[in-house]
Amino acid sequence: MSETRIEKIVNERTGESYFKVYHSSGLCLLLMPMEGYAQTYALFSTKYGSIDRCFRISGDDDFTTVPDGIAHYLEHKLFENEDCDAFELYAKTGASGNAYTGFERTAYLFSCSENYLDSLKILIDLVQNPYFTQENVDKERGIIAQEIRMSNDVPRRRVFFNMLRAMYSEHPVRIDIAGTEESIEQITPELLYKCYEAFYDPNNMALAIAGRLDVDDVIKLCDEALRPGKDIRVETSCPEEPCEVVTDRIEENFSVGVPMFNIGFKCPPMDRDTQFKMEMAADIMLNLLAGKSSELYRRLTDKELMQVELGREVFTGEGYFSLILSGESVDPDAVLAEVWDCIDIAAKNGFDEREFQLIKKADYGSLVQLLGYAEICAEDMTLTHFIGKNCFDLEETLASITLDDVNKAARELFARDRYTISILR
Amino acid sequence: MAYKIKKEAPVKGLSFTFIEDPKYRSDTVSVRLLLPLDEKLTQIYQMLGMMMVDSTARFPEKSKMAEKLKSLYGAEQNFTFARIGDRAVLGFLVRCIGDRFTIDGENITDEAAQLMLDLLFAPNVSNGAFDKKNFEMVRREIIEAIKSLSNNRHTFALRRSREVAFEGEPSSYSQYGTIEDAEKLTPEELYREYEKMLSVAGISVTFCGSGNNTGAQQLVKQRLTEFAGERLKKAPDIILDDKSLISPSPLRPEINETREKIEQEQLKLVMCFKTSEDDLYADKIACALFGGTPFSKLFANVREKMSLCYYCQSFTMEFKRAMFVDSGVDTANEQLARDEILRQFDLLKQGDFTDEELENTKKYLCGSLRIVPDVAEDFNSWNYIRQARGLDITPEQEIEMINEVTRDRVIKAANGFSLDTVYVLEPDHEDGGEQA
Repeated sequence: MSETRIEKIVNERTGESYFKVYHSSGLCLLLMPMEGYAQTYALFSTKYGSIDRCFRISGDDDFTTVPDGIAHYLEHKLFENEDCDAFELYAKTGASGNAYTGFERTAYLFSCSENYLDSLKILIDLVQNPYFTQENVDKERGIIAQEIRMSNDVPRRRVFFNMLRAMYSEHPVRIDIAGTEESIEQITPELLYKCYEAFYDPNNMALAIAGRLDVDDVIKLCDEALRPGKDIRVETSCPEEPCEVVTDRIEENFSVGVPMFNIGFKCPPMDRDTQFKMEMAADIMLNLLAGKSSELYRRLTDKELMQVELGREVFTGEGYFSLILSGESVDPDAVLAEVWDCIDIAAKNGFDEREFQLIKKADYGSLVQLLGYAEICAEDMTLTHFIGKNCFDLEETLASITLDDVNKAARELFARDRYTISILR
Repeated sequence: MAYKIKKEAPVKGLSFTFIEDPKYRSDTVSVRLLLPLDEKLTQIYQMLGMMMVDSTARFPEKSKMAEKLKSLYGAEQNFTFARIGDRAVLGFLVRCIGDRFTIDGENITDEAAQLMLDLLFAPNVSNGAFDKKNFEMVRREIIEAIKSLSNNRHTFALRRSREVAFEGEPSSYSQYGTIEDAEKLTPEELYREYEKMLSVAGISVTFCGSGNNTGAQQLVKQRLTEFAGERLKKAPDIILDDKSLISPSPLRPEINETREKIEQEQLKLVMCFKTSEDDLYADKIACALFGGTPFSKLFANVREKMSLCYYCQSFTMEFKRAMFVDSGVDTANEQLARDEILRQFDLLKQGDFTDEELENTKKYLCGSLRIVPDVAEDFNSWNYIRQARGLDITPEQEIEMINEVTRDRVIKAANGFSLDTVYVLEPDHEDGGEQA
């Protein structure tokens, strides 16, 4: 077991800082004390999400493929110990607990204004002590089935997942995080334990806390409560994803008032370092392309195709990178035609320098404000840590982006042979 | 307690609240207009609000307004429509980062404050009418919003249940109105209503930021005080100056059950209970014990024990003295869920909860309150709601009031509620899912 080591991460420009503690257990603690705050927000995350469906750990000969939705199911079940569920435990300390599962990460959290060390102990104990029985696993199935049905009744989600299925043929990002009612039927306590063993080792996790906290007190509690990790090496396997999309069009009827659409532009995956900067450059590029000051926005509103801006997202993760434009329109195909026209113009002429600088300024303002929310600080510390960065790198990387980077993104990320439009009518 | 709060009411129909906390990274000025709520005006107010933030005389194009906001480090300018009791509240907000965070130390908060004054007093108007192009765009947006209301089945069910439960009362009116009414509106009519709106509205201004008595605050304060003083001289009697906005919804003699169908997978069930009692904090605790926390009766039984649903929660609409229970279940399990919800409510009325459950519920509510001042916009909203009830208190005082509620008061509060409305949004196909 190595010794605990503390590193102070400082934003040289503003003087703001947080602590990265490499705990002897193998867990990385990310601690940001925020002066004057009543809230303590803790986020215990594992680098394990719905896309990790095929894996093996050291000692295994073969890869195991697990049922879709198991990471999410595990999140539900880890919220329960032998005697009661997490909510009952947090009720005693006054904390508000929750958890969520994403494509690449599962997180357990609490927010409180008193007794944060007691709540932290509950959080650590819960995550370290799985308790799965046939009975409690079966009991959860009905609840999760209703969660799946509830999600299926949200048109925004339907049109989004349809787009992912049309864009990706092999990558598991095409599968709904919660799985399907059929896939969760196959989940057993044994499989849950197998996933837990592979992905819930402290070396694969991070505990971020922001708000009212004392760094020494947190480390002391972690010394007492954390069990050392086994540093299990987990290898995931993801089928190779072709560059092409499955289909350039997918439609579904769901009785929506105005047709909804997602246009997905599939881009080649890139290494994490390139991706970090490209994600920010692409975000600025989409803003220049489709924001309120853009030619595209003017055309769509003048032609009465849309009344509000297109939604914009850079959707990235391990093995996937895509750009998404979304909205509601009486004629999504006409919107698509305008989108391509404006992409062609941007790729040919590039964007306006003044407008580019304004968007960077606005993005800087947004980063400044977000550091005022304990939840977002904990999220940002975790997300950047998992890709080998720190949360002040966001500001530094933003400052380093040039108009050339953005114009390059417009030229290289769009291609007419790898996009899809998903429409819900 | 790091914050300071100061309130002033210099003229009838105008109040200022200054919330200062050194940790706030942004400066906000928010103006709320308290207005009467009638069926036609709701749509007009919604349109007015949207147009006032979209463009002004100084920035008549949306693109120019967007550029201006970006130049202020991505300042935000938005509009919200809310109902409090039987009144409408039009909320306008301009927020930007504090001057101490700008790269070259430039002052941007004065300019942000000027944007607020522009949107209130210098709209994009000529010859007695709002700008035609902007008007048409907003009208189309409203019409599309009306058409899209049912897109999200869950929020649609909640919306419809409110309309059914408060039928005939002003709070049931949709701010989007009808397509037919939207098509009849003209830019001239909107401008006439804009002028009337400013002459009657009760105006509440809140400043949130790290400093007090800033240039931006002075600018807004001076202009609004002058405006309110002048209108008071002209027509003092029409200004809305409510001290409390409570508008109880009367209990029906018989339970109303409304069923509607839509294409979806899961049935949405909403139940509305009404009370004639007025014990705000006992009502809140009773509701939280019933279904307002993740360890409540509904969560523990309907979800965890019976696995009938993913969500089954209760919340109050305190200005209407109503409580809603909101759930999504399989069609085949509807009756089971309804029976259990009502059974749990009966148990609550009989006092079937432990002292520990009561204390934990109070802790949960107090914990949420304690962190309200951490976030300027949360504090701003919380403060306005309390003010709208005629309460001049701090979150710390509210915590004390919650902790003073006794078990007997909670039982009495629970017994005050009776089931009034059941709204069911059913899937329009026969496949209702498996029986639990």
